[in-house]
Amino acid sequence: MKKRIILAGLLASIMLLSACNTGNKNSGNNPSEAASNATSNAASNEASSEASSEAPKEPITLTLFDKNVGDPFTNPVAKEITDRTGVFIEIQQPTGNPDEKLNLMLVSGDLPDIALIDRREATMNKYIAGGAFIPLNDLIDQYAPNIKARYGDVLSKSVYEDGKNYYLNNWYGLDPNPNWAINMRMDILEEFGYGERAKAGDSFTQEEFLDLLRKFKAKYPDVDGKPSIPMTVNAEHMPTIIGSFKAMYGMKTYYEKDGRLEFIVRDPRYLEMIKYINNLYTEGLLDREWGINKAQNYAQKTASGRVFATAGGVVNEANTAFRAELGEDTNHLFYAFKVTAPGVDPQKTTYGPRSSLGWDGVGITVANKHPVETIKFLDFLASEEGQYLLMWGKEGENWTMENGVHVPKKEALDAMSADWAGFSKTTGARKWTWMIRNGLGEDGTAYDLIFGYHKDNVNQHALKSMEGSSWDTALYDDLGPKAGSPDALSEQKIKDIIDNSFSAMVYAKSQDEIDGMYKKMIAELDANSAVKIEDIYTANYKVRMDLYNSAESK
Amino acid sequence: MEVEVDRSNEKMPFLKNPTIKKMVRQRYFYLLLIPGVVWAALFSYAPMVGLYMAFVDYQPTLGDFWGSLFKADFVGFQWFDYFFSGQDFVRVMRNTLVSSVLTLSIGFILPIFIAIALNEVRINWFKRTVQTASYLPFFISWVVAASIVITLLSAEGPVNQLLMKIGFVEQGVLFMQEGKLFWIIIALSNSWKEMGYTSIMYVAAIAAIPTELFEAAKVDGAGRLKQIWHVLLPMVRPTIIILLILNIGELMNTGFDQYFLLGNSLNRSYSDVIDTYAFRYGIQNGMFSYAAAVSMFKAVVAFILVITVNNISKKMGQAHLF
Repeated sequence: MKKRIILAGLLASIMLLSACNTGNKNSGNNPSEAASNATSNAASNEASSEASSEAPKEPITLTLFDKNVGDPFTNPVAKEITDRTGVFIEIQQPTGNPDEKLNLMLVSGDLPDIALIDRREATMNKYIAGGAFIPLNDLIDQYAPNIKARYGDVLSKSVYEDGKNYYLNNWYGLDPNPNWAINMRMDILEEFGYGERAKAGDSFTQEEFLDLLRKFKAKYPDVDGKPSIPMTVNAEHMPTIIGSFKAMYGMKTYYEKDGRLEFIVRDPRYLEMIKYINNLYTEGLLDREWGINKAQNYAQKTASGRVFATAGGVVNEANTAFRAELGEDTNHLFYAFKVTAPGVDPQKTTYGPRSSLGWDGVGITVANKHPVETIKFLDFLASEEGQYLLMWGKEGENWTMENGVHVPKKEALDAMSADWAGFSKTTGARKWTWMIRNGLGEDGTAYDLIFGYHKDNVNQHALKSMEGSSWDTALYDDLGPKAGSPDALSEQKIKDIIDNSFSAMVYAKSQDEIDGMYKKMIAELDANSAVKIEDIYTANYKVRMDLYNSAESK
Repeated sequence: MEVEVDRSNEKMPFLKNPTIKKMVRQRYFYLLLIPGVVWAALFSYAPMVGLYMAFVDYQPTLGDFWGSLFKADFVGFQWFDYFFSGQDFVRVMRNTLVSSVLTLSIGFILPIFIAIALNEVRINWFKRTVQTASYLPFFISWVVAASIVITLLSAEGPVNQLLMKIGFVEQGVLFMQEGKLFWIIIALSNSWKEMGYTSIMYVAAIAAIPTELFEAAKVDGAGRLKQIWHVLLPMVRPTIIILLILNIGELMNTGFDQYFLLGNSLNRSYSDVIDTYAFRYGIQNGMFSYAAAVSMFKAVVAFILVITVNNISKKMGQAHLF
């Protein structure tokens, strides 16, 4: 009897489990895969049949992995690219974590023809060291005049250990646009008598900023029945938060002392910074939930009118909401400002970390059977013409040439401001962001039509107020120990310690307590061989400096 | 008249062996077993070869997984050594064990209560509604469930508003950034998500109890509570014990999603469990060997746990798995 019940129980549970498993698998994966296969097949059939009727030569199909795009290669820009280069791109669906997928493609040998990889991630080096990318130097010399002319020393700065180029930088050239800032509401600034200085884009000192937050809290303890939040942040971008405060002191990635690169926490001003933030927190000026706000909470809070200031990028969602509610010409908007620590020149603040060598790299894999066609294809995209096609869309459709200047059509501008994502999807402008160069084209118009052509008053103002705060991170990116070494484990451990201590110190109850916590953190760093990691940073930094100097003197 | 004698046994003497004889007699059952055995061999035993990765310094190279795995430098127990000697080991183990024991003690008892309560409900539509409602959370992915939990528990969320209304607290409690609350939040949300689903197994076990037993108990004058205590619980005990053994085997397997999604840098010293640790240090940094070593340690401990609990149960004369 007992046995039978056990058996029944077991069988029941097994059946339930297996039914659930298969059920999940079927509903989870297969249909979506099948659907995406079907669409991409349909897409490639459609495109190749259309293209073959126009172009004399049958276009070749190349597969491409880009973590940012999964759309079929069928919009007007895509068709134009295929017509001009004879290359049709089959986009590989970027699902889940891109690094995981890239690793999987590498070890299984199932590579796409072209891969875009974040050039500051370890994955890039794994691809090169693992022999997945082909060297491009000869191909560029022979077939890519545009790349050669336009990339300049970007290429010689991006060589691998063996002195060869394995990828082409994407989003290269120093982006002139401001990045992070301390954002403050203009209407409140005016109310407290800072209107003129604010409009002129002047910087504020930490004292003034603190005073403004206090005044805001005193005058508006409640907004719409809820307590006001003088300052909040988006915790999903923790590096942005820390970065915006570090920027007040002009701190960069590392603490440079006597030609050595050390962890930034060793900078004496780091402790000063922590105490400043802690003060904001203990006085109730910084959002109590600063450490866990998700993007959604952040958008909600900033748009509610309860917030006076934030640290981080431009507060787009809230500003859009304010404009929709109060009219286009409202000054009830977040504007970007520099706030400076005592004794720091506003020109020396570091609010705009940008990499002149770009975000990711475009590489040609060993699986690619048409390297020459591929480099020609990439060369076209990198050309002035290619850039405007990628970023502005088709000539005649989105823009026209007037007196040698690119002019967007009015319909395009309207469609863009109504729904830029939809505009991008239908016209293809800014959909395929490969080989992109930052900044302005030869005629002085911005390559980035959607975000660079028409600047609203907030962005116009930011150009002035944040001027001079951009700095190039390229020298400091990816200087750490080689992935997969025990040193990399130590580095991760140290970063964890620094992250955890940052939060703990900001939440500390008194400034004395912070001193103790700081000492403990430094002791923990040293216990985890921080000095050894710093030696690695310093050594890699020297190599990087030499490379850059020789690249620039060429 | 010639009698045909079955001489096949003489030709193949091994068929006389009683075990073989039994197997031949039961050949169709073995046929049924084949798919299961193949499945287990392919998906559970064959991949174990990859555990070798925990003992080498594996670096991925193009296309040739096995080649690069077996060519990699053999480092013995270096990765295990690193894991055990770091201060992380104690913290991660503590988080794993405490939060799963907490989950187990809440999440194991609740489904039994639900199943018994459902069994006592006589109104059919009500029973079905409750059952559906209680197992729905099981089908919500953790991504969604986690944001529900975070929203409920935010400083101005419904839970805090309720607490403030009844005057329990003055200012919203910061549930998600108070590390000490993390384990209980995880235990409750795990139980909430799993209880309905697990209770189905108990409902099935209860349904298998012959009604005569209840009727006999009733004749003997047992009330509802007495029936539950003296008939129902003893009858479902084997199911309870088997599920308990299975659950204890999962003690080290806390699950990954909920810890990853509900954890943040403020509660990390309480929310970092073996799985999230292996992910951050191993997968995110491309340290596959280290991740393999950490995960292998976890699997070995889980294995020992299951065997121990099973043997204890066997010794006590209770239901056991094997």
